[in-house]
Amino acid sequence: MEKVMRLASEKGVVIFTKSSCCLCYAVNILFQELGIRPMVHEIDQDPEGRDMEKALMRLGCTAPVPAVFIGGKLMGSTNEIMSLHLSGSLTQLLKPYHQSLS
Amino acid sequence: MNSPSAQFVSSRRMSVYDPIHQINMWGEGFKSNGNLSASLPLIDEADLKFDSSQSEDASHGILGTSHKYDQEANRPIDKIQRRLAQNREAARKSRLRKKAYVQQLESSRLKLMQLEQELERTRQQGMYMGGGLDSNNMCFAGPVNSGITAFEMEYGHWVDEQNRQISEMRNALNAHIGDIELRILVEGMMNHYAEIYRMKSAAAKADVFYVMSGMWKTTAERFFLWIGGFRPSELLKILGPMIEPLTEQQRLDIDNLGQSCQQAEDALSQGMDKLRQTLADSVAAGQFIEGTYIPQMASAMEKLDALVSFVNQADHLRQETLQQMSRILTIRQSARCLLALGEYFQRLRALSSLWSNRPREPA
Repeated sequence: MEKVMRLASEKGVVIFTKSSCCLCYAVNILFQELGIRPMVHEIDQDPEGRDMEKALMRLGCTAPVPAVFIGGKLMGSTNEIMSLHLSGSLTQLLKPYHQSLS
Repeated sequence: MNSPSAQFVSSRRMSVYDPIHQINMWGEGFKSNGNLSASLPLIDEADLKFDSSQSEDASHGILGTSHKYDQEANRPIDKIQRRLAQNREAARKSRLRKKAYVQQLESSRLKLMQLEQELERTRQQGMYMGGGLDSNNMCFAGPVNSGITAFEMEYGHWVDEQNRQISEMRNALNAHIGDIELRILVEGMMNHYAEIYRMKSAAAKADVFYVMSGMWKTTAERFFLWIGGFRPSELLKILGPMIEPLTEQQRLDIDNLGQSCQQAEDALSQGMDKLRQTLADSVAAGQFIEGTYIPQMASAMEKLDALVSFVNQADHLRQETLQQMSRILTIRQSARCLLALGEYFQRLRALSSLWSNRPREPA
């Protein structure tokens, strides 16, 4: 759990994924379309991956991956991100972390 | 006379089953119906041998025999007896033939009933074919998928209810009913859409390819298919002009919603492309050894599970779009929007019908 929280705060936007997960890939694409380069942690490539997966579930994530943290706070999985985006809230949340594509 | 031939003649006279008679009758029966039952006495070799050995014995014996035979057969009472015996035999044969024929009819009838049942079952499944093509290029229905059959039946009811709600909304708007009553109708329609997404989610678990391909939809609807349904951004573009007049804020909000939809759709589409690629790679990596695929196919099966989550995400996007629209618009605008949406799909379905029933050029 500590590892998850530590990694989640390392950068503004952090996504926990699995290398084989195409839905995680889609969420990553969305962030890049919005001009964000999130930090991606592939938990299936991590030796403590199983524990991290359990920790994410305990934090209330409906699916362990993709798990999106913004500003160190868990936003949710794909469903939540999509809803946030359509309501316009996601862009607001991402403002401080927006990287200019120069 | 005690010659063997005379004995032979008398025994022949007595017995109905003499070889010559046998040959004639059996020949007749055999010609008319090949399905004679086994109980029919057949000529065996012993009888034939008996005949030929008779003829070999002594020619004058044969002559003597036939001479005797004719003499005796010319007696009227024998003629009648023989005729009666022949009739009895013919009747017996006829009964056997009839029995065989009736048995054939019965089994054909049974087979017909089975085929009709199967046809009914396939018809009820609609276009759903669980199997694929066999080596003769014939489409065959696989094992019945009850989840899909249930979905198709429920979908029929869903469309009926949808049509009813559309008419009700049209009448309500024309009658200029108040906002409170209108809200009830709007919420009813929104809940009805939520219902179809619930149904689709269950159907996706039963057969994700069925849902992905929009198999329950009409052909024109399927033309616009995107991950098992309509593309939200496209729909917003169509509906936008139909709900004028809008305030500037509303116009801006709808534009932003459209853009967000587009981005979300692009992300999901790219995810789908990646899924297709990895699935293709998995299938390519699987090897064919003596009729079975080695475990590489297990990873392909996992990919198919991922497909279910994509379908669910696409439906979630559709539902979110509808809900966002209802937040941006007033109640009356929402009502008009939902009416326009419903009527659009009705027209699309009607187009499918028109198209499939169009008069074709003679070949």
